[in-house]
Amino acid sequence: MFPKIITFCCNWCAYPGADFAGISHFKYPVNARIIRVMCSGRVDPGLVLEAFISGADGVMVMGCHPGECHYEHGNYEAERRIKLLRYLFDKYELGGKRLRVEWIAASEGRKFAEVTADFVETVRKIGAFQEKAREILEVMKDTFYGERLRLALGAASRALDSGADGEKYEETLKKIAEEEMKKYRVLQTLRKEGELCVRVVAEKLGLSLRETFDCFLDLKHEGLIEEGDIGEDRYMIYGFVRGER
Amino acid sequence: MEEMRSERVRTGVYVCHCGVNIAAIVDSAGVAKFASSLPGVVIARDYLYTCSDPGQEMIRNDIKEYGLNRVIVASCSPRMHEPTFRKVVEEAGLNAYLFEMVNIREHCSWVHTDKEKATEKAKDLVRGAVARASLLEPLERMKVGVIPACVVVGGGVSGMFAALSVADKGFKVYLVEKETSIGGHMAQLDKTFPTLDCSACILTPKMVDVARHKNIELITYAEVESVEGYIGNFKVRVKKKARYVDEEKCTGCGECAKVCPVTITNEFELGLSGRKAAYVPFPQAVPLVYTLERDRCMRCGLCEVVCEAEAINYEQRDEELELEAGVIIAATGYDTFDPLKKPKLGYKEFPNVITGLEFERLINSSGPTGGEIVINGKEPKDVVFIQCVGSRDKEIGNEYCSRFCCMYTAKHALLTREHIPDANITILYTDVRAFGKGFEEFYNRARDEGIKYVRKEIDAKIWTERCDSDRVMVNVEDSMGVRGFEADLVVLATGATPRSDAKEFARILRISQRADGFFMETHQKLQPVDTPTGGIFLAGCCQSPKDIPDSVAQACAAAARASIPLMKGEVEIEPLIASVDEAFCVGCRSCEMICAYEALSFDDKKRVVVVNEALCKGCGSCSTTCPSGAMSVKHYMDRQVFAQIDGLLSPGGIM
Ligand SMILES: Cc1cc2nc3c(=O)[nH]c(=O)nc-3n(C[C@H](O)[C@H](O)[C@H](O)COP(=O)(O)OP(=O)(O)OC[C@H]3O[C@@H](n4cnc5c(N)ncnc54)[C@H](O)[C@@H]3O)c2cc1C
Repeated sequence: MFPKIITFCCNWCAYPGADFAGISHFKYPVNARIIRVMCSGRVDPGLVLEAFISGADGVMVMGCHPGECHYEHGNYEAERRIKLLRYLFDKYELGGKRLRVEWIAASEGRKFAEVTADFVETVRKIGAFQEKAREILEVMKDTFYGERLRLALGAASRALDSGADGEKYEETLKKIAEEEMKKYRVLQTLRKEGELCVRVVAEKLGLSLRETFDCFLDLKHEGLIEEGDIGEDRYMIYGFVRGER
Repeated sequence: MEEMRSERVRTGVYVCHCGVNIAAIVDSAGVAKFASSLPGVVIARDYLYTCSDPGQEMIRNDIKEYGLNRVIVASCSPRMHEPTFRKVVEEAGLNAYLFEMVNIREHCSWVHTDKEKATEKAKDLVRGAVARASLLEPLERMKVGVIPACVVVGGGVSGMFAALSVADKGFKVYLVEKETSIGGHMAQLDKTFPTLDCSACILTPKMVDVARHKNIELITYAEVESVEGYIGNFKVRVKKKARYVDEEKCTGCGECAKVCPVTITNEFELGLSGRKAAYVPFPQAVPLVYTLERDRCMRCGLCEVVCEAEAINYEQRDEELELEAGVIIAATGYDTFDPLKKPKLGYKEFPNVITGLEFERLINSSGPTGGEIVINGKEPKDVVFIQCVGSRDKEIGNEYCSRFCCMYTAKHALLTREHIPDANITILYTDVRAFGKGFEEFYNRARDEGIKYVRKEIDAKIWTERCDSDRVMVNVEDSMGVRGFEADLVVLATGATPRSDAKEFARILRISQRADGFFMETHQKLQPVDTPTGGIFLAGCCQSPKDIPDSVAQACAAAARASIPLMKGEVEIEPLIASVDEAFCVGCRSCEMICAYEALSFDDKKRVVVVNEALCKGCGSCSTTCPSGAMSVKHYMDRQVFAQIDGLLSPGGIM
C-alpha cells in the first residue's frame, strides 16, 4: 500500500476526534495508522523519524487547538519541533510536506477525515523516498536524539514561553540542527566504513576539510569516536568507539 | 520488573466482530488467524461480542489455561471499553497495564468501505499492538485522597439541583453563580409547560433551600478564573466581585433602591423596563442582597444615609477565593439566540417583534407590564409566533434543534388565549416536536383552543415589513409560495446557543466543546454527564439544549456521578507518569524547567531529577526534552512506541 501514513494523536482531542469521525461514519482513505499518545508534546522527532525509517511515507502529528492543550503547552512544543524537522526535510530534499501538524478538537470528526484524505493525497504526489533517504533519516534521528539539539530545543521552549523573539530562536535552532547533521553524517560514515581519515570523509560527504575536521573534534570530545593512526598532515585518521544510544 | 521482562511473552489476541459493526467490513476471523502467526502469540480468537459476559469469561479462562501474560482486544475505541477489559484481565490476576486495545471499529470498519484494504489495515494495527504489548510493563495505580467537596458552577435550575443533591449526601458544596442571584433562565419564565405551573412558585422554594442548606456555600456575583489540579484535588480560583453592599448586613429591605437617583436598563427584564443602580434583579432573588452597579453608581451617598443596617460599603474590593474540591460540576446553561443575526425578521426594527423570553416577561404579573400584553400601547389582536429562530438553521450555523421552543410556543399561544380570548393566534412551525411526557397532549390542547398551526418549510424565507401605522406583515416564502400574515405582535421562538464565554470556560476546565459549541460528554449514551477530564461533570443546558425536566434529571445524574469519588474518599490515578533512569540523568534540569506542573525537582545529593508522582500528569514533555534519554513516560516509553511503529509498518522500511 502506498502511501503509508502514521498519525500520532493526542489522547484528549485528536484521538476522540478520530473516534468521532468513526461514530459519524465519515470515510477517509485506509492509508493512515493511528498511534495514541497522551500529548502531542510527547511526539519526539525521534519517534517521527523512526516511523519514516520503518517505512512510513508521511507522518502527521495531531494535537489540541492552540490554547486548548490538556497539558498547557505540549502542542506548541510539538509544533516547534516538527517545524524544525520539516525544515531539514526540505533542505535534504526529502519533502517537508511529508510532515504535518494539525489541531483537531474532539468534535472535529469531519476535519479529521478531511485532513487525513488531503494528507494522503499530498504524500502520494510527493512519491516514495529515494534509496539514499534512509541514511539521511538515520542521521537526522541521531541529530534529534543528540544532546546538543535537545538542550537547545528545551532552552528555546522555555525562552519562547516567556516571550522571547521566536524568529531569532528558530534561526539558531536551524543552525544548530544543520551543524549537528554534519557531525552525525561524519559519524555515520565512520560507522559504516570503519577507520577513515578526515580527507576521505570530507570528499565522500562533499564537506570542506575544515568542517569535517571540526566534526571529528566534536565527536572525539563527546566520546563518540576515538583517535586512530595519524597520517602526514593533520587530517588524520580516526575510528569510532561508542555505538548509538 | 526484571523478572517480568525475562519471562517469555505469551500473548492472547481477541478480534471482535461487534455483531456486524466490524465484521461487515473487516474479516475478523482472518485477522485472528493472522494474529496467531505473530511472535509471542499463543492464542488468537475472533468473537461475536467480546465485551459480552461470555466474551469476558473466555478471556479470563484463556489467561489461566494458556498462562497468558499479555492480552490484546481488537474491537472498539479504548475510550469505550479499555476500562472494561482492564478489569477483566485483573480479575484473572494479570496486571491491567499488560492489556492493550486495538481500535478496529471507529478507526477502521466504520470509516472504510474496501473490505480487503480495511482487513489489511486491521492486521497492521494488531501487529503494532502485539509488538508494543510484548514490551509493556506492569504498573501499579496510585491512590490519592479526595477532598470531600464539590464546586458547582452556575446557579440555574440545573446547578441548584446538582448542588442540593450533592449537599444532601453530606458533602460540602460551593455554588458559584456569576449573576447577583441564582435561578438562571427559569427565574425569568412565567408559567412552565406542559403543566402550566408558575415558574417562580416552583423555583423560589428551591432557591431558598439552596441558600439555607447547611452544606451549601453560595458564592454569587462571582466567576471562576482558573482551575488547577485533578480529580480529587482541584483548586478553583474564583473572583467574587464587589457589590459595595455587605452581604452579611444587608436585610434586603430595598430602601437603597428607593432613594437611588440612577435609573438604568433592567437586564433581567431584557430591557423592557428600568431599574435603579442599587438593585436586586427580581423580588425573589437569592440571596436577597442588594448590589450597587459599579459603573453607574454615582457614590452620591443617599443609600448610605437610609441604610439602617449600615450595609453600604463603597470601599469594598473584589475578592479572590481559592476553593478546594474533589469534583466539579459545570452547569452554566445557555444563551438565547440573538435574532439580530437574522435582520430580516425585523427585531428591534419594529416594536411589534419580540423574543420568546421577552414574551415571558410581558405576561408575567411581576413583569414590566404587570402581566398585561401591551404592544404599541394596546392589546394585540393578531398574534404570530415564528418557530425555529436560530435553531435547525444551517445557514446561521446552528443545525441542532433547541428542544424547548416548540413547547414554549404552544405555552405562549395558550397563555395569549387566556389573556386575550378573542385573539387570532397563528404559529408558523416547521415540525412540531412534542416528544416529552405530556407534550403531545399539551400540543393538542393548543390546537383545541383554536390556535392555528401553519407549516413553513425548514428553509423558508421569512421577513417582516410595516403594513400600516403600527402593524407588521410577516411574509413566508417556500415551495408553497409566498404567504403573508398581518400581526400586532410577532413572537420569535429563539432557540438556545452556547454561552458566549463557553469557549473560555471550556479552556479553564480543560473540557471539550462539540462542533455546535455545547460541552462534550465522554459518551453520548453511556456517559452522558461525565467529561473525559476526570472529576468534571456536566449538567443542564451547557451540555445541550433541554427543558426543565431534563435539566433537573441530568443535574441529579451529574450529582450522583460526582458523589462517587466523594463517597469513596480516594481515587485511583493512572500510573502513566514520568520516570527517571538515574543512571542516565546528567542533572541538566532541562526537564524541570519545561514541566508545567512543577512535578520534577532536583535532588541535590544524588545530582539527579526526581518525579513527584502526585503532581505528574504524564504528558511526556520532559522525555521529549531530556538530552540524555534518562526521562521516559511509563506505558509510552520510546521502545514501546518504536515497537508499535515497526509493527504497524512492517514489512517495511525504505529498501
Ligand atoms: C422563552 C423560554 C421559555 C422556556 N419555557 C420553558 C418551560 O415552560 N418549561 C421547561 O421545561 N423549560 C422551558 N425553557 C427551558 C429552560 O429555560 C431551561 O431548561 C433551563 O433554564 C435550563 O437550566 P440551566 O440551569 O441548565 O441553565 P440556565 O437557566 O441558563 O442557568 C445557568 C446559570 O449559570 C450561570 N452562569 C453561566 N455562566 C457562568 C459562569 N461562567 N460562572 C458562574 N455562573 C455562570 C448563569 O448566570 C445562570 O444562572 C424555556 C426557555 C426559554 C428560552
